[in-house]
Amino acid sequence: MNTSTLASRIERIRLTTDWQVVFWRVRRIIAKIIIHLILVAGAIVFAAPFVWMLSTSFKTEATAYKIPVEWIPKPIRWQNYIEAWQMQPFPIFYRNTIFLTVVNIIGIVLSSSLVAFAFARVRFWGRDVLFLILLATMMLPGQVTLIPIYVIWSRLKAVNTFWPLIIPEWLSNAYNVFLLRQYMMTITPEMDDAARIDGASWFRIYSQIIIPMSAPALGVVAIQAFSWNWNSFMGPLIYLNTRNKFTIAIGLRLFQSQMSQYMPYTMAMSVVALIPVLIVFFIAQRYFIQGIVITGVKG
Amino acid sequence: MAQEIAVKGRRLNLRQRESLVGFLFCLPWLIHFTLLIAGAMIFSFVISLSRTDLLTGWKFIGFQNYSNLFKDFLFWKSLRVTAYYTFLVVPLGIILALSIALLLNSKVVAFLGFWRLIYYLPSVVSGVAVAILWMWVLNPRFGLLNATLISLGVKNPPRWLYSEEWAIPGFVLMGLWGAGGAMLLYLAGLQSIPTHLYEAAEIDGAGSWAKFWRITLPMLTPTIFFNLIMSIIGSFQVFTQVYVMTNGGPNNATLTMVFYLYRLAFLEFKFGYASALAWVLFFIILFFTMLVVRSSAAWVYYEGELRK
Amino acid sequence: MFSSKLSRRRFLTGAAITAAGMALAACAPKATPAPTPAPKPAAGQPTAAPAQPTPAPAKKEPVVIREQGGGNAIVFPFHEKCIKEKFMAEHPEIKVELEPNPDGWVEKLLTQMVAGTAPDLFEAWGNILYEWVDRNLIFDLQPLVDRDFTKERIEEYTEFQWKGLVFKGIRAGMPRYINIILMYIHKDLWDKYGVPYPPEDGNYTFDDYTGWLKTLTEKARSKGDNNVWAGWIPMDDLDRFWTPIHSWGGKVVDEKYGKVCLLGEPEAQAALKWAYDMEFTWNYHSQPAQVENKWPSTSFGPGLIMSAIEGVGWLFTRERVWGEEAKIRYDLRHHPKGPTGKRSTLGTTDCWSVNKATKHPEEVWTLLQFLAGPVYQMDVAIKVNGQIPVLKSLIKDYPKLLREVKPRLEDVRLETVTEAIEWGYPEDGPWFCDQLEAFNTYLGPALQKVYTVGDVGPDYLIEVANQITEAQNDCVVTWPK
Repeated sequence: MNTSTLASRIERIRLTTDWQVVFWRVRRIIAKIIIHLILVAGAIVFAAPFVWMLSTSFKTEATAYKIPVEWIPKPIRWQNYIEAWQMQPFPIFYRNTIFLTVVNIIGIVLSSSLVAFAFARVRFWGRDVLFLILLATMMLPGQVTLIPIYVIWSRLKAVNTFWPLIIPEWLSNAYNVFLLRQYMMTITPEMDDAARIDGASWFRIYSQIIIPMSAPALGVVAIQAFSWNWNSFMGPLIYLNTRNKFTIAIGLRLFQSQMSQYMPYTMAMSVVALIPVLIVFFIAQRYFIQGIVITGVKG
Repeated sequence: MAQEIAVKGRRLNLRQRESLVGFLFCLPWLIHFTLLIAGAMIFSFVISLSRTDLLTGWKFIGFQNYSNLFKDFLFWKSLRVTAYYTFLVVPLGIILALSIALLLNSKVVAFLGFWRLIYYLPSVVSGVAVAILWMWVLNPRFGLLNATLISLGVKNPPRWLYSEEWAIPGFVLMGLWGAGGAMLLYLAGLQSIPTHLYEAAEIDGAGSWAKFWRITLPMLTPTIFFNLIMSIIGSFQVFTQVYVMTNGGPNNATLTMVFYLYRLAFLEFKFGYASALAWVLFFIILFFTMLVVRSSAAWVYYEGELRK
Repeated sequence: MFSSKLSRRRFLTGAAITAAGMALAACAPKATPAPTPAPKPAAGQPTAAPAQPTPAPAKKEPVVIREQGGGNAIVFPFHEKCIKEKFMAEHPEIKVELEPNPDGWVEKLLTQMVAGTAPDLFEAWGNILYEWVDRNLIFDLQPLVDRDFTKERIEEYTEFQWKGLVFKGIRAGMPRYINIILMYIHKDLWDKYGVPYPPEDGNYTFDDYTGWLKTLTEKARSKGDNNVWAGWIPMDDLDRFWTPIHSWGGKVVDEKYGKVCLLGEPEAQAALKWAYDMEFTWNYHSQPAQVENKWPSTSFGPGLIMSAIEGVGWLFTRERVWGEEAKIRYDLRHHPKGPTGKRSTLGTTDCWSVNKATKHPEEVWTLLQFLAGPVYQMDVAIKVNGQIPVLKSLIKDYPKLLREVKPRLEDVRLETVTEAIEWGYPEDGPWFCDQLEAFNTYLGPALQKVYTVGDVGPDYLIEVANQITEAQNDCVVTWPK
């Protein structure tokens, strides 16, 4: 039988707790170190392309192809940036790219969220079949629909304008609709049920409940729309003919030729092209922090 | 818009009214589909029944393109190559993206934004840079990968893109490296999990493992579902790496279906035959997508389950 | 709505560049808006195109013709400048709209052809033309040539190109420049391993060549240099693999109908065996897996290969990368002769072609003559690109003209190029009746299996040759050869 006094029992509990706390702390630190080690190892693999781009952008054509790769170029040739920038009207390419990207992000977020809302939240006749058709449109390789769609636009006299690159995005695309629909379906229906009972219109439910609660997914859509439109090559290549309409992605390809890759120039301009994407991503990713969306939803 | 619905709504019952609302919300996509996509899809199906180069006329030949396809040894080769790639890259890609997202959602990690940026980088670096970089990574002699393998004691590391057996695994590695895009999806998905679920589990004394299996994973199933379907669609249509890096070689080891149909259409002017191949691929992808969709009732959990 | 006059001049004036003075000069005319040709009366123009299709009324809007091409980012400004200042100024009745053609333009052009929005004039070469003339896409220039060209004028063009540009009875284009495959040697490395350079007169065979490469390889390996290879021939490349075969006296395919593949014949097999041994048995030639950046433009400078059988078409690019940046000493030699003394190498048929659907054939023809004529060839092909011009009168002075721009080329025996053309050994590649099927379905993969993967010997190609012949059986020869 235990004859210890209350005080000594408390003392003993305190001791074990201390020991456990230390144990947990050590375990946490070790876990933290391991996680960071894994992250560093992965980061080396994942960041290599960018580091390589950066380093190549400062090389001469002669050192760019050395094997094994020279990560720190000797000599550092910063002029690549100026020379490449001046070889083509890059300011115009930039302006066109920014214009297209901004317009299209707005279009994609608006149109795709509307359609996704319907598929996720509204019961309507033929919804499930329509949704399968939506998925199915992604299953036919674009290579075989490229020409007929081009022919349609050329009949509309829209070749060498931005319309063929803008209008489809403003009419929503299957990928983003599917993505947003999946996310919207994870949102608990309690709030829009309640709102509907209060007599809120569908559009109000869409704009004031579902849209705010879908912020992370809309963020993904916007980020992806940004990087796709920014780097998009095939569409602009096919539809745009003259240099005053070109985008950065096409401008970059102009350096490639059968005889020489002009790798340092290409990479210098790729770095310049990539920076806005990185800034946008870095800002946007902060919204993916646990908890900021869910506040307001009761348990 | 709401006004208009309300006006019409007076004459409709609740159910019909909701249907109308659904169509109105779907309108952008319905216009897109009917004006652009449907026409192009029907067109490609019609020419798949013809012998045509789109330039010098065409001849209706029924399903002959399809029956020729099944006699074409390159078709079967491309089917094997594509399926091999898909079945490797889809599951591995999902696991990798999910793991990275979980790591980069954890509060113990310092400089979260920085790591996320790094892991997202491969998804935004321009195609040219990626191709050249990977030619070097996979270089049998000087490549980073084989250098690592040799230092780990591998005697005869693979020749990757220069061998018939290892070319596709090489592309799989390259595909996995783009997992940052899917990581983003999972990060967003993780934000939708209500924190109170975790709090409740903690009160019940659940460990982190149990929390992962009982809360995180089930709550992420809609995102996994999306990622799975999109990966299936995307990897069955793998094209760019092949186009830029190997042109289907060596000895057709990387002749994927879309690369083959691209070559048939744009280099060999067999648009009818290429369209037939595209439609066969369409039905293959549809089959696997339907498998996933049908099975989803058993494993995908929607908090806001569709009202039937 | 999308047009803007964002000033490029700001970027130009602010910049101080030394090395890219060339590029700067190129950009400058873009900044200052080029004088838009005032619509002068077009009558009585002393031009090369004597025929005005319809008697033009005096004040007419210029005819707009669209040209796709103009070269990569570095060449394009010069091309643009030349067209504006030397062509459009002379021909106010014609306005040339340039559309650059970045990677992927072949697909784009085909799409445009289907939709009827293709440009009037575009760059092309044999592989494309061979198929495109079948599809009725290419304007036949022969009638215009017959009408406007004298015998002397035709003889200004080299025979292999002039002949090579006739595909299936159609004159499919006007020559753009000449590229021929010769031998480059990396003098620093040859000196390092103490092997004397090949004689300048080209009087040597592939046996001699093999001997030099053997010595180079052995010397390098004995010094412990394992990451350098003595030579390079891209045997897995469909444009190139045939040059040893022809040199050995063999053929890829019968020349009359293009239906019987002859790769199984002893001469062809001997050449293929030699090429295989060079790569895999002896490894004097680098294997594709050994030198990743396989084109010498990128592997010669870093010193990964000591010689290369490679094109001399864009010598200024080479000089810039190898000479000015990597600072290596290199030289040009003749292509070796085969065992029977035959010498054969690739001479390209790169050209400008005209869209069959063009609405302005006469104006395009005028531009075409300008591009394949002395002014453009001198200003752009020679002075900007260091290309071999298409006109014999300019080829004569080619070494001198190039050295005027790049004096360092004094060390490179450019006379080899003029001799090669004079001796007439560049030729066009083999053509199968169904070229695409032969190349894409059979030969390409087979060559990769032998010369990239290397897990089968060249006798594998005997079997493949039979398959090709069988597959060509159904092909109908549609034109008289």
